[in-house]
Amino acid sequence: MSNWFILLPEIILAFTIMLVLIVDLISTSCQRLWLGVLSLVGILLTVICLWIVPSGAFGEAFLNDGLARFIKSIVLLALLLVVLFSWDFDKVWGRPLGEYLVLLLSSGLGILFLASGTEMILLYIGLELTTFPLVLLTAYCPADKKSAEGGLKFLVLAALGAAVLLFGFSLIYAAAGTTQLQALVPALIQTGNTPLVLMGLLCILAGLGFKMALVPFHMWVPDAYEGAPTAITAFLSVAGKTAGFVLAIRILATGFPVQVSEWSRIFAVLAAVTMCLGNFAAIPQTNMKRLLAYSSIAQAGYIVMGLVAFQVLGLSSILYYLTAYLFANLAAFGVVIAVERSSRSVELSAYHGLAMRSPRLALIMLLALLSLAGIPPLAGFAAKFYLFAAVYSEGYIWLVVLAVLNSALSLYYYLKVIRAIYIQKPAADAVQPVTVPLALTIVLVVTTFGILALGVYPSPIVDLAREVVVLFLTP
Amino acid sequence: MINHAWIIPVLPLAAAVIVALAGKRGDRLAGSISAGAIFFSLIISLKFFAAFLVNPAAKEVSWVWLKSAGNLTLEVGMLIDPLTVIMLVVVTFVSLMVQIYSMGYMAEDEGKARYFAFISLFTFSMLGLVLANNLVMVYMFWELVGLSSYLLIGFWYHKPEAANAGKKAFVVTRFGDLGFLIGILVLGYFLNTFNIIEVGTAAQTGKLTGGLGTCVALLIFAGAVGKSAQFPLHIWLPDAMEGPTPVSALIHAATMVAAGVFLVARVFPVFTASDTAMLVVAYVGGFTAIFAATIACVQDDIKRILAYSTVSQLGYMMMALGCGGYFAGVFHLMTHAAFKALLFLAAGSVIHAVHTNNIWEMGGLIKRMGITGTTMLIAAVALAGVFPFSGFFSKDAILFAALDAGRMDLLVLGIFTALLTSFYIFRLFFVVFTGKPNSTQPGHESPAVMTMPLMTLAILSLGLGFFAARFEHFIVASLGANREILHQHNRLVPMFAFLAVLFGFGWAYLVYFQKAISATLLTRKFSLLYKLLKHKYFIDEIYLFFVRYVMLVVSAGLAWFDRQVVDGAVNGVAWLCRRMGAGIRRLQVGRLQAYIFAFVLGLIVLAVSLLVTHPDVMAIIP
Repeated sequence: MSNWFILLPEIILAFTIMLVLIVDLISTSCQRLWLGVLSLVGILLTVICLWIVPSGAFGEAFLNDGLARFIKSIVLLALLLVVLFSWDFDKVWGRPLGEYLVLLLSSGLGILFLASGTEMILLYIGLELTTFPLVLLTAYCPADKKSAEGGLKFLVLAALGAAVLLFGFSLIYAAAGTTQLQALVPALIQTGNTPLVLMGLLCILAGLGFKMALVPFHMWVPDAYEGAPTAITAFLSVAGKTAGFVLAIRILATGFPVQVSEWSRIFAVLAAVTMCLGNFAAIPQTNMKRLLAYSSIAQAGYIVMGLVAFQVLGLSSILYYLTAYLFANLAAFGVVIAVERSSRSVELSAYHGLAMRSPRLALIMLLALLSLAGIPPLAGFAAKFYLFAAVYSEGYIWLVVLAVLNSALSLYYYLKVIRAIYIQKPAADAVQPVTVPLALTIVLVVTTFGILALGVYPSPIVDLAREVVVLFLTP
Repeated sequence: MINHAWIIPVLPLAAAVIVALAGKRGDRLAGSISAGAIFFSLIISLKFFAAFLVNPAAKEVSWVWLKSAGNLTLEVGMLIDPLTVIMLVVVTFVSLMVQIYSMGYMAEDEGKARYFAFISLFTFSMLGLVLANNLVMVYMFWELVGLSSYLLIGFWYHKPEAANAGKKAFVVTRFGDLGFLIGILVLGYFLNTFNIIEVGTAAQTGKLTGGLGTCVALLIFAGAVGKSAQFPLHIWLPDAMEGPTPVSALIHAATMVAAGVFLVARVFPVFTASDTAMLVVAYVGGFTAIFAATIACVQDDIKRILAYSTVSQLGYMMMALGCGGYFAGVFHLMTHAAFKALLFLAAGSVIHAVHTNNIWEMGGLIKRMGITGTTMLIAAVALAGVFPFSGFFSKDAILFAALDAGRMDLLVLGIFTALLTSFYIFRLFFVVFTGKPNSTQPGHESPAVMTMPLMTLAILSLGLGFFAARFEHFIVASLGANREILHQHNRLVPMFAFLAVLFGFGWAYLVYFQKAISATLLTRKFSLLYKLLKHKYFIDEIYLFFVRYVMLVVSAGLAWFDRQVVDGAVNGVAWLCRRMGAGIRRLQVGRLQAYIFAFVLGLIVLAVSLLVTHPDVMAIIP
């Protein structure tokens, strides 16, 4: 029989979820601290287990390889940091912590399956497991109108996206007669590019586009990001995006390598449209969460270029970019959370004169935004450098030029925030320094370290990503 | 062992960060923290020094930083050879002395923490510059030392002279840096590498010949001219004396300004590959040496005399390198670091006591400041180059280098510079330390924390020269395994040099000690020459004239163009972007129906585009 051992990380995380649920039921309100500790321990055990478990397949649906391990490590790190973000969630938001953590971890579990899935049904279930807890979490504060609104919009569009994806899967199944991604390749070579196959592929691309938040499937992003509790926004922007990209890599690289010319052209256009629209739309924003939402759309536009340059260099650049993006984005959201705790506002005006009130927070925000913009020697620079180089070497020069222009454009609104922090005077009533709790401090220190370390010395992660991708592409 | 070399620069960096973050609270500990860090750096540097004495083969360690799609790689790495270890020891040692001294000198200053944070930052940058194994890293640290120099010159930023001097240094050196940067890029373009060893090999195997080689060498030399204050970019260094005196000792005498000399030595094969480049280096150096020495003879400000002396001595080193005297240049860098740091620190001790920079307001200080006076005398004798002080050996090496290269004109020039050097330094000594006190301030000896570094440096100024022969084999090992050391052991050269020094000394003695010859009479007799020197050959005025009447006219035109055309275009683009943003924002109406519409529309557009690009598929559809 199959080797159950390979599933061990997922099993541990699933047990953690159940344990948190049970402990939440039986514990009194003053014991809530244990829920967080339990989640952290569970995640840490999963990470450790992840690197112990050998590579291999479980049946024909689940594959634990280097790529899966890399993506899972990113996601679990994001999960860990977001749990720390939400350490005293119940106190700040007045909503129960137990269910919150259960939903969060469930969504993480879903992404773990996405990272390993090699079969369409499993991938679909993984996707649902990832998305629906996130919908619930977005609408987690129903008293807040924005939260409810964002949740509803997210729900409807997620359903639409999932339906389109599933429809695409079924068309492909109709053409090829299998749901196993590796078996698709010979089957589709036999059928050729019939309208059925092309339509199926198209629907799959649209479904992936929803998950990666590419224009025009991105419309839910600003509302959901703005409405969700900020810790969830952070998770959505980092882990949610990672899930979309790993799903795309799995499906397209394993199932549709023959049709590469079809989908890489589509992605090239989507990448161009996405980064332009994301950056332009970010310019007039005055709400930090909306600004970062549009920034994340633009970032998705850059990352998808890695799929256009569908080679070792392109794919490994995606992996590196996702790592760099994780640190920079979580650092930025960490500062947003800290400011939101003290001023109850996510408007840009709450950041005026932050440098005078809390110079360290201001510095972290500065580093995070400059890294997102791709300024050396921060992580974002190396990430953009490798990504653009990969696309350039595949011959998409117009796309690289556009991406570079877009990077310059993005500086406009990143610097707008930096200007608010460093140059504008604080409001008369906002003179107190922002207090940062310990859990949040840990996240900020870790992410800042990541931004600097990955930028100054990118080689280890770059080499690891390359190794993983080479193994993935040559089975 | 080499893998641990990164600790040397990182320790001062850590100190800088800690001191900066602690802010006012760490005021009292700031000095101890940064001096402590540099002390350990010195210990490690000395360990490296000892190890390389045994085995002087160059060692390199590097990691890939960024790899582009081509085969051009940016690396982060360290290259350690005898030249590096010598620089490491010089930098860490002088930095330690200066920081200990600063604890006394800056004791009363408000911004002590800021001061020590800056000085640690400088030390970090300088050590990084010395250790770097490729030119891109060299350039980064090169700019970092420039930045810390700017910060420290303008340390008393409330004084307009200091703030202006900082700006001047920054802008003037930038001219040279631009050339340096272009040189690096040209090298990278043609050789496909930035690695110093690989560049050296390429130059030795004749890949850098003719116009290209000369061009690259001269571009790199432009950077060295800026940083080492060679003519015509020397004008920033005297003004840089507005900074605190210990800073002048560390940055503007012993280490940073020597970075230009170090740079030429570091990529020496690139220079030796081109005779023209060598010639330019030699003559720029030689001219600067005598040019600055003449100015130093008539200055009144104690620090400015020393500043022009530094410019002159750096010119000496350049001249040596240009004549192929690798050892002479580097060895003089080393001895000069010791005695010039000492001169500045002693001058600082004097200024600390009498609160003026003008030498004519001092006088007779030897009686009250015994240690300062004695150590300064030792440094002065070393600078003048009297046997057996260290300056004698390094100066002789330079003169021999000129002789070996067959450049008799430079040899004569060098000997004449020695005469002038001897004159101005003893003029300074006699006016400040002998005669009648002219000051209303009751001078007093500085505290032990300041005199200890003076005495330590004095011992070095005295003793370093005896190791000249030992150093020669060691330093030349940087150039490659078996390079012959040849000298024409000409006894006439040191004799002439000694006579020149003696003559300079005698002249100063007669005029300023015995007062047998009236100084005012001399100035009246040679009033034209005196005025010319007093105004530093009107170089600053020429620049000013150029800036005021030529550049401003041109730049007014450019400014108009910039404001109307360029800014107009930029503002237009910005306006367009904002409008686009606002327009796109309107797309996001917030209605769920619209979102679904966009989704489905996107799907349809993709489907249509797919069908259009696949006419064969269209054909199948009925």
